Amino acid sequence: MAHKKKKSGRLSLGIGLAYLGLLLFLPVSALVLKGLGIPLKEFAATFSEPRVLAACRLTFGVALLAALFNAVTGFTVAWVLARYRFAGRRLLDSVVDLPFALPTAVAGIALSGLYAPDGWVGRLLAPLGVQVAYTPLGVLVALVFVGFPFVVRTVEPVIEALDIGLEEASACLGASRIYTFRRVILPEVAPALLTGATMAFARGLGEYGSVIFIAGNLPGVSEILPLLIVARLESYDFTGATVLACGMLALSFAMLLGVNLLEGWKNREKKA
Amino acid sequence: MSIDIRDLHKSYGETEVLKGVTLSVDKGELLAMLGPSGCGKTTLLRIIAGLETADSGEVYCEGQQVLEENPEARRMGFVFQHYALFRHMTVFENIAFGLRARPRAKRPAENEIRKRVDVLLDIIQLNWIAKRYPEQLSGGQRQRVALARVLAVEPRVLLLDEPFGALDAKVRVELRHWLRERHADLGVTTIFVTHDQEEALDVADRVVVIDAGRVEQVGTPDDVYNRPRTPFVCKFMGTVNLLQPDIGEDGPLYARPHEIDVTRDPGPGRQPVAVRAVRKAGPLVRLAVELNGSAVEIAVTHADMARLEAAPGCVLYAMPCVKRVYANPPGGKDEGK
Repeated sequence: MAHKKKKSGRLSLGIGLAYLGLLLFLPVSALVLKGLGIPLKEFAATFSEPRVLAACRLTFGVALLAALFNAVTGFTVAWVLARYRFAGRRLLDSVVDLPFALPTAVAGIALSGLYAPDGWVGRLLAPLGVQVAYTPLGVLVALVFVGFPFVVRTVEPVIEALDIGLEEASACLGASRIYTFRRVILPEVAPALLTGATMAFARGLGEYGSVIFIAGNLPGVSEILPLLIVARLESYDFTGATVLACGMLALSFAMLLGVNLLEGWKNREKKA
Repeated sequence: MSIDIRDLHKSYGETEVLKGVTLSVDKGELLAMLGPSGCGKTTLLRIIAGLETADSGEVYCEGQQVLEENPEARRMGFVFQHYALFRHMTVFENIAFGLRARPRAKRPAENEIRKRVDVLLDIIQLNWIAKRYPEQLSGGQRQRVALARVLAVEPRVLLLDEPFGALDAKVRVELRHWLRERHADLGVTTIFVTHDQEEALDVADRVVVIDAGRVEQVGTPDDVYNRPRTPFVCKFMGTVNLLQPDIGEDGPLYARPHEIDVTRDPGPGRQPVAVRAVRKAGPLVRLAVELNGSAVEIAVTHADMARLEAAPGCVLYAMPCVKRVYANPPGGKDEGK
């Protein structure tokens, strides 16, 4: 019996790995192989161009900001959806998923329409001296939009499964609501929150469609890295595009790996 | 700390869970709230703790109305059936939680906290697992940690919701005896909820029997077991036979298995019973017999059994040795007031 189980386990593991290989490793390794043929000094030269550096900073910086923003708002919405029963809850629940379904270009056009100086929201912000569309702030708005559901969808089931008894126990021990949140609720939800925020962050790094419409794409100001890659492709600078893509891949991979290691380390610490 | 509960009402939508509960708990007493599931006992406990609101009525703690206070302010130690330990904290940190949660001005110094937690770990005899996480403990250990966590804040009252419900039978008995000993040492007023009558009778100073949102009887274990005031209490406390009434009585006679006397020979007032089965495992021998066509359970000591030499198929002569009759026929409890 046990033997049989082991064998079938090996089979499903094999299928899983083979599929992962075809789906993920093949395109990525094609890119890396192409990159390996390029001399290192080409990388050094590209990644010291001010325009590229600015795009890097913008892409990673804004994606991180958007992920943090989504972590807070996404947690709040997930809490409301999981804990309260109100009219229109189902509707709100489906609205959360919209950024998943909406073509990103549509989202970008809608957002730039809203936040343009003469748009519904832009008009209100203009007198305050705040311009969203065609600035880095616009990039942030777009990335917040597309990343939002990741946090809600990962955190909501965890909040739903949270034992109310824990909060009640904390209250009976004299803890304030804030203390309970910090020491009881947050540690329970933190792993899911980190996962959701990481997914939102990763999505933000690669986001293209919605950003290019609202960002204005000013070189050095509101131009994101993926756009720079596309620009190089369009001018048949395949080497340049590969260099940028490889650099971005390496950076993204390093950051995601870092988050995963952090999570693993946290779990081990708990089990120790 | 004494507790006075007056005319407490609570409904969830259409269902009335508490229908005017009045009860007083003496200082230092160990009180069991006993009743079938859904009778409202847990709701009552949660209202005392402030985890649930009452629709009307009052709860006084040492003469002071507490229903307006939120659970944080009440200082009622609540122990949950499933322990509700904080799983990302060690046993030590779980116990220290209530002390650390205090506002800075009232918080004891770190070494004071350590000292108090160590004392509690001694009391629950678990100092050797202070650094473990709840996941690594057995059910009985978890419940003791939950108790220590609550004791750390020096609660006015201890409230235990089915504290042994999730444990296996042997641990349950050990832990309830342990609880009674700790209660004797600490003297904290304690209320615990259970649906297990054996547990309530074994541990409590007094038992409150609750059914369908009403207090049926309050009394010592001896009272509620031997002198049940209503048919419900009588039936809930253990197996009881409903025997045909004597002439002149308007309800059946309630006799427990050991309250029926059997002999080998007929005698005045004795009725013949046919033995159907004999079960000897346990402190008493239980005989399943047939009396006037209905099944009756009789319990006799092993010594008596040796004298009776009863076996399935033989006939004995039985006579109840109690006269327990209720004015209202069973099931026909008067509704309303």
